[in-house]
Amino acid sequence: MTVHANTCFTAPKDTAISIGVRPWRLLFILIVATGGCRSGRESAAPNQPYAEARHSTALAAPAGRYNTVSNDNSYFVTYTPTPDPIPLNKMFELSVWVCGAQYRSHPLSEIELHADAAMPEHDHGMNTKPKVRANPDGSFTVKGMLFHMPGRWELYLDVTRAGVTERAQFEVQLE
Amino acid sequence: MTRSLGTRTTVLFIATLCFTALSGARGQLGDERKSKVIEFTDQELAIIREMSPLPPVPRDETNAYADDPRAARFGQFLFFDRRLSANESVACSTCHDPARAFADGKPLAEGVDKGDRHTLALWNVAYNRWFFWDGRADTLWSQALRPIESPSELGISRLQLAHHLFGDSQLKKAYEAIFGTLPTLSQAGRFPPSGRPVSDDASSPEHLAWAAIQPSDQEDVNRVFVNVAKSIAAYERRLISRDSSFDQFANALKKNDSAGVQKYPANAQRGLKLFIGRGNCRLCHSGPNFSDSEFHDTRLRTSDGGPPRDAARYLGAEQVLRDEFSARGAYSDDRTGPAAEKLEFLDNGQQNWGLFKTPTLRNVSATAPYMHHGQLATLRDVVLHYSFLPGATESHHPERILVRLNLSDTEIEDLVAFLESLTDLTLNPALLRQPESP
Repeated sequence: MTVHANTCFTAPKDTAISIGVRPWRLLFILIVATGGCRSGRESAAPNQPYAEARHSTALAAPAGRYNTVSNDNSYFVTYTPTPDPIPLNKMFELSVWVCGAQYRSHPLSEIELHADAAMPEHDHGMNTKPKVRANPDGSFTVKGMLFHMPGRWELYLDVTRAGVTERAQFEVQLE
Repeated sequence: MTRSLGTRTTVLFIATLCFTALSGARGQLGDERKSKVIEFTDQELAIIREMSPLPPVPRDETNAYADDPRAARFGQFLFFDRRLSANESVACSTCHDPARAFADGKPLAEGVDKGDRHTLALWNVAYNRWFFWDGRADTLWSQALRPIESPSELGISRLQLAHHLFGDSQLKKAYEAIFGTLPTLSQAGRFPPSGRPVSDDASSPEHLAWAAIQPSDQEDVNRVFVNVAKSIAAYERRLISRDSSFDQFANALKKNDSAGVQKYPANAQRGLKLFIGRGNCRLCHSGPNFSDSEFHDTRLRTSDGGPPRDAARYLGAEQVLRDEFSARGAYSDDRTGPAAEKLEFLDNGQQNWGLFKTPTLRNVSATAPYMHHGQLATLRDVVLHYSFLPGATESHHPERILVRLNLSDTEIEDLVAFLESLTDLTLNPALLRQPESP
């Protein structure tokens, strides 16, 4: 996987909108982005249990990346899947960048990242246990992700620093 | 749900002609229902496009002989060779009978002894991620090893197998032409007539005989054992079903071939719509091989009506993780590729207790009875189970996929019609019997 930049903002792809969805989903996303769902920034309010972001919310997502703020507002977490869009029932990888929520120009160091996913309506998770590797440029590579079933998945990127964990939660609709 | 937001269909199927043709057999349907137009949304059409065609057979880099025609012929010969069993009356083809769509028609397998699970058919087995109902093998060739030494299947040992090849001039010649010289099995002091590792009984004569062999000789025998299994896998990779009436329908859809589309019975079209929609069948039976190749709780009682007692995936995952014949083991021809990667990320735990693999649905109409213990006799019984969950066990698994669908009689018939439309038993006749020579 090629990592093009070491900032949470620089887009790794030159596509204007790469939201990991098929065209029919654009309609859904437009509805979400225009008021059908809270934006990622709004959902990151401290009283919310988890920050939540659908792909391409109103959080000014750089092209080709999905991002949100962690549940206690400390981190701005961005990921790109490979392949994109995420395929059904095939292994995929994530490249993840974790920056401070206020200062997003550089990935943070001295943090740990844990990745997992689940289908809340089915009460089950993945059948794989992903592994996370920290890269020299400050990004992370997550291997071993596999969404074996169509439907709504929640992707959890948990950031731990100095013993405190915050969750960045994303929603992925897989058809 | 985003599904409902897709642009409504641009394709309409006037099914009247099909219904007219079927009206004699389906007289119970009212006229109103017969004349309904079958409609697929764009989203449904996109899903149908992903269900067909079946892609080319995936490469198996862990088996250097997977696509070697000599190995496939050798494996086919052995597949039908009853001499490779303890009573010389059972072969792979006994349970995977070509005359019964590579299944056996029995609830539970019967080799040299009674088995405790239903025989899985072999159609499209090359597409599997995991093998056996519990996924205790991660490659097709490592699957083929197990029945040879299973006491209820062929019931011989790897040493007996090696001696059999060595003692039969035809087999020896064929083997050595592909894999090189066999070990000198005539040296009785080095190679006793029988022996194998018996993990759960270290005091068994078979285990003791195996343990007495030099490690390098064990490795040589293991290599013969594996080469036989890789040959059988090379044969089994050729058992492909890909041209069912559903595939023809899907192809006609892609080509906007209305005549082709209308050849597909309306009840099967309605069944397809249920399959990918309200029936939730596609949650597990996804993709062009109609299986996610993963493991689920079907909430079925055992064939004697009792509660589930089979640990299934929980044990299978544990076994495959410590299997010396796995994709990452010494006998694999690709220890770091995608097949080995499956093991690296495999997550096992209590949540896997009692889960069984999703079988393919291609040719399912020809492989009754159904489910892991052969509990259900017909496809209608299967659909009834998933519709009403009669007598279902309390789920011991957190997964909550199965819910009562309360399908109508017509919907049940439609789903069965769709499942029947996944049938394509066409195969080169030469693959259906033992070749004259190995």
